[in-house]
Amino acid sequence: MHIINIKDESPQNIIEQASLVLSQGGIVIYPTETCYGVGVDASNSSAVEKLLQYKRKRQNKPLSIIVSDQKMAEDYVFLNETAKNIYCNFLPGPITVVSSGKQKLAPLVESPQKTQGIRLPSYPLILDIVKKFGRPITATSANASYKKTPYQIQDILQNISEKQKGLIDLILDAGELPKRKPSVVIDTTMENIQILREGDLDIEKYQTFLSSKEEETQELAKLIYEAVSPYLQTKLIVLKLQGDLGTGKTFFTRSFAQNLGIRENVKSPTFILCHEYPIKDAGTLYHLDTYRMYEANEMEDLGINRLFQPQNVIVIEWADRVSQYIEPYLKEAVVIDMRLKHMPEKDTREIKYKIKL
Amino acid sequence: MKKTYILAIDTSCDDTSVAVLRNDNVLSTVIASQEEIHQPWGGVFPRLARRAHIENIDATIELALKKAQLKEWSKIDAIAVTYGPGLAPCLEVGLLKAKELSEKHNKPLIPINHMEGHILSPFLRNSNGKYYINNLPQVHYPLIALTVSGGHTDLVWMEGVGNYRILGETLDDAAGEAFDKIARMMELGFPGGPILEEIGAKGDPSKIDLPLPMAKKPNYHFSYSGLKTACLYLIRDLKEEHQENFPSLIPDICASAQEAIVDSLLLKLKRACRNMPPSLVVIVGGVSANKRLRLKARKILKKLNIPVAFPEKKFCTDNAAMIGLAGYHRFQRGEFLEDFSGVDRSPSITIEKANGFVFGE
Repeated sequence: MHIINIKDESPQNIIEQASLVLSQGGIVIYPTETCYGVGVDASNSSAVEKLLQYKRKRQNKPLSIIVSDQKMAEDYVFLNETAKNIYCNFLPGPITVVSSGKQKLAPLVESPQKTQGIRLPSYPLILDIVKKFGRPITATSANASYKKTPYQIQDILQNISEKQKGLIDLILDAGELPKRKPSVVIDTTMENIQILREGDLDIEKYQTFLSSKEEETQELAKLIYEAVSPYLQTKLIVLKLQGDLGTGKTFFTRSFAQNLGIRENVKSPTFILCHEYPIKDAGTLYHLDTYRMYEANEMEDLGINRLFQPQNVIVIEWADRVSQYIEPYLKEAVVIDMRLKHMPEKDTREIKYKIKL
Repeated sequence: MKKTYILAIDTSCDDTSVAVLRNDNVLSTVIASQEEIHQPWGGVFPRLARRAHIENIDATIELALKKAQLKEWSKIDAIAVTYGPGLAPCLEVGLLKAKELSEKHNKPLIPINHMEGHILSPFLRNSNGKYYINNLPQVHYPLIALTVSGGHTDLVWMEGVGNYRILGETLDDAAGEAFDKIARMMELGFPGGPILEEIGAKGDPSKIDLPLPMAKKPNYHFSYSGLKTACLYLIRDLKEEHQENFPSLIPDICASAQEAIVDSLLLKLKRACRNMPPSLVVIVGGVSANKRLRLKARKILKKLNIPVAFPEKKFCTDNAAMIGLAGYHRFQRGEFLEDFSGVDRSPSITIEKANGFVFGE
């Protein structure tokens, strides 16, 4: 077992060494934007068997894989429009996208239903390793099955046997990782995410979601949360919501807040103008309704300088009213622009959105 | 025993209100209404409201003192002021003024939770020491308060002044907000509650079916987003179907919407009263002025054999008299501040923050 502290070595060197270990069927433990993962060559049956020995008690749970880009993904799975939409908008990021597999990987990697989970982590070093290696590697978390999610190397080593330790060939130690939840898994082979109009990849790059029930809006909130959550600790995140009465602005905000771990019930801010909810391990969620703002600079009354700070999340309903005024504060921010609209079909809302990271 | 004189200020929303109380007797109450300012806009615009508060507050205080025939400040024992919940820019005006006056005249300050004021509002007496409402039931605890306004819809269990527990609350919009938004959909004006009530009086609530919000949920919470959406689709469909005849349907829509809101409130109130019978129910806040709500609530509670009290009409909406009454009770308990530098506006505090005497979010 060899440990490389990634701060001490040149990326070139790390990529070379990791790639070499993988090609020899070895096990590499690596950092990602979520937790530490454990990787082997996903096309090499004996390497996968070695991995399963390391993980223990996995029964028939399938293994996700990491690819370096969408092109590599398409060599191993069929991407439908829903999947392409997610790749295009949310990846790289902490999302595992499940698609129908092409059965080109080692046995036990794909699920018995022939589906395959794919990760494109927003962790450049790993993408570079996979790129250099030229084939997907496994993307399971580096703990043994049913043990603690590993955010530092000790979390792993303290919870495995000497025998398991002996199976590890290389550890890439990036120190303690921010405690982010494991990636969210989105199954695009199911019908629960509907992205109807594909023709919307226009100049503005708005994506279109049609939501005909609350669960679908919740799904979208989860997707957007996953896309922006890596920036929660470092940047200001602003969601600008524009849409008529009853299009679900507050409902979307509530769903988004739930993803932020906010347990309080997010209510309409119409009356109070601004509701605040503390976010665990980050700043504050400010939920604003600017419908009744007479002058855009009324944002000042709410303490704009306090609001527009990194680690905060600001959701603004009727954002168009203050759009120009807040523009200067958004330069360094992650901005999600959303437009919600009633459709002729009952209970159906069209939600157009774009994300600026 | 020496009487307590309280000067009370409320600037939580769009009205600048000042009152002077002697114990629980209202000596004067002055409200500088901003209705004309906000009406054309279909809602309270905070910046305009703040500006109007600043313009009105000195004159309102002066007038309230004059009407109470208090010639000198020395008679005032304390200043009570709303510090939340409400609109931040508006709350600030009243709070700053109260602090300024406290300092200038060396009077203790009593920061009051606006919702506590509403809950106590039925128990105000006039300057002759008589309750404003006839036949006010004896005040017994525990009581259940339904506080229902443009910003709140809460069901509160109260064991006494300063002892509150929220049984249920709205999960999205307040009932008053639902009235406002439904009125907005039909471009009927603002505020929506009185408008829907007036137009709805000419309509038939049984002609149009609207869902009864949260009817199936076995809790004490409220929700109006579903009703809002149902109204939106209903109006859209009826407009398409009836074209230029649509306006003739408006009274029925108003009646139905009002009925749905009123019934949803009473459904949860009734459930709470059955499960934990209180000695008294009070229904307070702007929406408690609604006649349909009063009528139906009286019927239901009569059957349950629980007395119910509503505030005098003028004390349903925001007013400083109720803040003064809460201030009086707090003062009696020695709950006032000599050093109030740490008190800040708290736009979104709940009634439970009025338990004990602690300030801040």
